[in-house]
Amino acid sequence: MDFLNSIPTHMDYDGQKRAENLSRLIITLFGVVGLVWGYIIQQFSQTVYILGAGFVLACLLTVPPWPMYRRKPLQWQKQKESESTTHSKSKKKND
Amino acid sequence: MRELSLYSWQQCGYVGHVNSNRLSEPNLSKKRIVLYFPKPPEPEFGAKMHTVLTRGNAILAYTLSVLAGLTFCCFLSTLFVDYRTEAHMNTVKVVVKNVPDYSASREENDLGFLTFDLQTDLTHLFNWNVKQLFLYLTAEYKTSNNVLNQVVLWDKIIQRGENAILDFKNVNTKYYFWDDGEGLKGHKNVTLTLSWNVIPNAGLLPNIFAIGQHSFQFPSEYAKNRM
Repeated sequence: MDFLNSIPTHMDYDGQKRAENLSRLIITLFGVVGLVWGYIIQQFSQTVYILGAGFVLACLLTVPPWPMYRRKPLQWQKQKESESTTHSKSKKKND
Repeated sequence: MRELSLYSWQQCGYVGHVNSNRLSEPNLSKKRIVLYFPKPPEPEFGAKMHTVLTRGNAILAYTLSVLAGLTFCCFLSTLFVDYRTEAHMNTVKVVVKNVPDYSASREENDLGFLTFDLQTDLTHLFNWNVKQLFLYLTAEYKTSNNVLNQVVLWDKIIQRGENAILDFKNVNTKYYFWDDGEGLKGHKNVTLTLSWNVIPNAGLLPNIFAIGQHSFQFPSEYAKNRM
C-alpha cells in the first residue's frame, strides 16, 4: 500500500492545462481524419476505429503524470519560523 | 496567543500580509485577528484534470462527444441521398383457389398462388450509412369489400457486402396471398410493387418504393388440383 501511495499521480496546474489541451487536440484530430477517411472509403466503422486509436493515444499521453506535466510546481514560501517565534516572545513581554 | 504561520501562494494571487508589527500590538485580541488564506484557484480550463481518474473520465467523455458529432455528420452526409431505383417484375404462374382459412374464421376465402420473376440491381444504394436493406414485395388491389388491399407476398434482407444484384426466376411467394372474401377470382388489376426499408447506422428509416411495377389478373375459375 505504501508502494502504491508512493507513485506520483499529480500534475501541476500548468501541466493539467496542457494535458487537457493535448488530449482534446489529439481526439479532435483523429476524429476529423477518421471522418474524412471513413467518407472516402464509405466505411463508418473505420471512422470509429480511428477515433478509438486517438482515444488510446490520448490516454497514453495525458493520463499518466509524465514529467512534462510537472515542470511548474507551485512555489510555496518558506514558513516564517523566526518571525512567529519573535511574536510569541513579544507576546510574553506584553503580558 | 496562538502561533501564526502564514503562507503566501504566489500563483494564486495572495492579497495581503498580516503586519508583524500589528500582531505584536498589545490590544490586538484573538477575536480581531483576521487570517488571510490564499484565494482558491479559479476553476480554469485544466481544473478537472487533477487526478488519473478525472483525466481518464474527461478524455472518455470528450471522445464520446466527438463520436456523437461524427455520427451526426455521417447522418447529414446521407440525408439527401435518393434511394429509389428501377426494378422489373413479372408474374409467371397465377392460380386462385377457394379454401377454408383455418388460421382465421374457417370460412372459405380466396387464396392466390403465384410465382414471379424479379430483376433489380441495388448495389449502388449501399453507402457508409446503410447497414442493410429490407425488401418486400406487395400486392395491391381493390375489392368490393375494401378500397385498398395490401398483401406482403415475399421479403428479403440484403446486408451490406452481400450480393445485391437480384435476378430471380419463377420464385414462389413466402407468405399466403389470402383475400378476406372472394375478391381474387377473376380480378383484373392486381399490382405488384417492390419496396424497401433502408436500415442506417444513424438517422431516418425510410420506406422506398421501387420505380416500376407489374399488374396482372387472376383467372376467372378456381383451380381444382394441387399446385
